[in-house]
Amino acid sequence: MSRDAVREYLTTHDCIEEDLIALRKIKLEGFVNTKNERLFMKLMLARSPSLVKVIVKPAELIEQKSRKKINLKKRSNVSVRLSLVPIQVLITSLVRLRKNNNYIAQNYMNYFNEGRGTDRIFELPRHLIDDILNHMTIKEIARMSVLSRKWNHKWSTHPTILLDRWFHEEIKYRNRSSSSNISDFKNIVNNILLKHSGHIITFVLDISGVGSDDRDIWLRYVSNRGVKELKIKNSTQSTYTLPSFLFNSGELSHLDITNCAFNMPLASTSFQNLVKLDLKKISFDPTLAYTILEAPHLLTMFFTDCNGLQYLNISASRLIGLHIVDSHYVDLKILKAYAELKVLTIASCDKIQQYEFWRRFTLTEIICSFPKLIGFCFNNDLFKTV
Amino acid sequence: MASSSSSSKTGLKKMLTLKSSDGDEFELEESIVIQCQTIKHMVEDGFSLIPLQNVDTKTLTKIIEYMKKHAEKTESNKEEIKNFNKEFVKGSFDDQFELVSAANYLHINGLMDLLCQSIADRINNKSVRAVREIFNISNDYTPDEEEKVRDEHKWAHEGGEFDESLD
Repeated sequence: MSRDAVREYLTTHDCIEEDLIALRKIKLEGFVNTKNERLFMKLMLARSPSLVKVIVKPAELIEQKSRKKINLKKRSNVSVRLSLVPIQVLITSLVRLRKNNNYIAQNYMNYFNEGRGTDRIFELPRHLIDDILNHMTIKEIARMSVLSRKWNHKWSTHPTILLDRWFHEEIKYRNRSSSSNISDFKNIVNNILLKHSGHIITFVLDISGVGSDDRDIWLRYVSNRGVKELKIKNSTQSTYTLPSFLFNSGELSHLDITNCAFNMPLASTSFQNLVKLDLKKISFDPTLAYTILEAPHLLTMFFTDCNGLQYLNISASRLIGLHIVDSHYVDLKILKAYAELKVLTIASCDKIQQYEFWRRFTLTEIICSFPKLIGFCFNNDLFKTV
Repeated sequence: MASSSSSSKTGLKKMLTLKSSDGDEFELEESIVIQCQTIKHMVEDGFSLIPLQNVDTKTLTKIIEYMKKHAEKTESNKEEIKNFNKEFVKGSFDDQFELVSAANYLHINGLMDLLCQSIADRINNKSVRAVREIFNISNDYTPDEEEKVRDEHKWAHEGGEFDESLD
């Protein structure tokens, strides 16, 4: 293929739509390293999977007609990597080319190494890859998308999105060293979510410094993507009321909420698949007393630093673990609903004694009302009370 | 090493023999070896010589070292175990990959976690070039595509120096 032919080819084919599956040999003569020629080489390397032989003859070499073949194996840098190539490749003067155009030589090696040079991480079983990625921050995983197409795909389908305190800190750190401002945070999260193309199983969001519209949209988005494990944390002083659509999510299996307000407008609301509920720093409102939260598969509940538990009606007939720590106004009548209970913790809670209902029972009676109980932890205050 | 024999050689302690893919045999107390779920199940099925075709001698030696140490775990030597773990993961990336594959095959959860964490920590903040080198990743992007992907995730590439070292 002469130089003119290349030129002609490129003017009629701006890009190749489909792979040139059958193409096996390319001979390029009179190569003078123009942009078009380089582009052509790129296209060929990227689009012809059956390629076995490429001959590139630079223009000046043809004129000289001497030392036509340079044995690459004897050249330092290139030879080491090209000698790994299983296919017999005849390349004339690639070393010379490499000086002029590092990219072509580089791509050559990548191209021919692709078949056998395997990505170490992707040799591992999938669950190990996910385990490794789960130990990395979202910023690191995003950065890895530039490694190769496979990594880009891995990033856009990684089922865990952790926008936690660490993530905030990282973005803040970044903002400090560049000229971007805080509204960037919103753009970054939007970017992450829009790029994501698989299931989002786990979503963790620290809502500090995020506008309420944005966080509602994000939560709606991950809800629609079938999120199963949701963790929302508000580390600011301001109140954030959870959007009501969360309370009818059939997919949720783990819900972990810190310092948010509940607003359940419906008379009954249900978490069909909820297994674990973990609530921290939440004040339950008296209006909740009229709502029944149905969670037929719920196994464990944690309440830490919560207020107004007496207003909460959670119907969970299979509950086996209940842990109430550092909370106030705990009415133990809520226990009566959970006959299957195996583990019960009530620690560092106060104001329990204020409830008449409580006084009618002794500790022994309470324990005896749970025939399946295998472990319990009550702290001293409770003994004083009872 | 002695060939397999299920009869107890050292009094009450039941011994097991592990055989690496290179054919080397290692005799160990059952209580140590059952940290591997895979082996535990084989022991339950009555095996006493356990051939491990996917684990070579070098890797198996390391894994035995890990299991022996972790069998000593008590409430009081937590710090010691922690330091041991720290030393244990200091090998090359190649070693770590061998180990994590073997730990997965043998189903030693603690070791899998330890290695995944360690691999993640070591890639953390490495430059793209270094990660490609370490994992033997072929860059199959064209320069334009690569630039585009980098641009789309600009936020992830900013904000600090990245580590170019390969260990």
